Amino acid sequence: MKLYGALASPFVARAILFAKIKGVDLELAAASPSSAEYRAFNPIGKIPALEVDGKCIAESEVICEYIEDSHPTPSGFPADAFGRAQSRMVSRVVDLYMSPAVSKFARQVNPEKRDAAVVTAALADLEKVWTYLESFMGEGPFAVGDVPTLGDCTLAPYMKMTQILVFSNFAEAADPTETNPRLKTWWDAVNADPNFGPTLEEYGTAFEQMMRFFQKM
Amino acid sequence: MSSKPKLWGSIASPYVARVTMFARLKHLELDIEKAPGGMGSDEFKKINITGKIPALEHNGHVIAECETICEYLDDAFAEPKVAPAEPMLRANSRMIARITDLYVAPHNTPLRPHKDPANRDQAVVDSVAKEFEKAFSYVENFMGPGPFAAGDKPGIGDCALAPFICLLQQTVFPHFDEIPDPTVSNPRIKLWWEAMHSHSEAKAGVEEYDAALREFLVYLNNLMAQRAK
Repeated sequence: MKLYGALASPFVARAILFAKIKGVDLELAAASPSSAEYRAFNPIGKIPALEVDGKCIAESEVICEYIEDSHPTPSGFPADAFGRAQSRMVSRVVDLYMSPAVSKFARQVNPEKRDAAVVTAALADLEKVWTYLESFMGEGPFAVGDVPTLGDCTLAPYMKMTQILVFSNFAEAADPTETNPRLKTWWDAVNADPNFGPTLEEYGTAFEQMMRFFQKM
Repeated sequence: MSSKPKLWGSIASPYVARVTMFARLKHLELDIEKAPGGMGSDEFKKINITGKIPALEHNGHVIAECETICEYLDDAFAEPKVAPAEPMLRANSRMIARITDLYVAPHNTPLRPHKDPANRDQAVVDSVAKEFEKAFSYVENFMGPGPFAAGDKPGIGDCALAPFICLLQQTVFPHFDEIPDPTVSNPRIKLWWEAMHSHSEAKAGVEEYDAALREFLVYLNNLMAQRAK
């Protein structure tokens, strides 16, 4: 299966991590999301997209669910129905609440052009996100139990991105992987995991490079 | 022993309707209760920390987010399985749900101040019309073989999209000629909408939501009229 996209995207990183924990081989292919050629394949024009028998599966979450359905073992989900719901809820919290909150910081990185009101609101949003995650996560140490599942694949690259974009640029934003015991336990577990640790490092480097590129523009 | 699941929320919400429609497809009864203190209240946040509806309570656990709740119901109650057996069809159905959430749902609210043709910012209407056109082209592109969103049975994608079609039919399409109803103008979506109305559980779900929404909009209009006095 061919995955279109680049590791610098946290959504592409989700699919790459999920394939890794399942031992599924993905061929990573570069894509120009705005090109007519790519849009003929994926009209939404976003990455990642998975090519299966010439057909397109769009949206990182749907791609992961497809990889699970088409390659059931080893499973990338907890075995019980509620555990599966917890893993999916962590994913949803990232997509619905964490991602919009982090996006608010993206235009405020330069301290000279910073809008204090926007930063204050975004900080409050992030604080809520940590409470949501804590409420929906399982007993751990991973997002649900003692092995990584879908929710970890979604949250880990996003947390890495938030560290680079937010915690290292905004002194007032506390890193929950240091201050929140549940998230600290989780972060230590994902970074010590042989699939996650190296991929998260690679993702962080790729994201930093992309950020520098856009800052120069 | 599995207990009867309780669904917090009001059926006039398209997100709650997604779950009630899905439960019909599973032949599953839910106890539906209004969120105590209302959506976003401190009282309800003790049940679901996000304060949003729907939330499902089952066997002492609380599950948030409509999409997650539907997946949970299909996992926790094995028969009848709603998700198609074929992984590609499952992906088609889930993509329709995602496209509804990401590309259809956000464009309703910006139109609200522009309903009156005499008091309308045409640039806003034109730009939203383009977004709807794109969203429905995505829907058409990612639907699987028909007549439903993915194959010959309704599923998670159908339950996500149908309430939004009802919502747009009541609040958008009649007011804006620029935004045509895709269940009339788009052959694939027309075929889908007809299939939804020829399937007994799907049809009952659509009609239940349509009526609840109509009632809610009347209530809202009366409230606004009273406030304007």
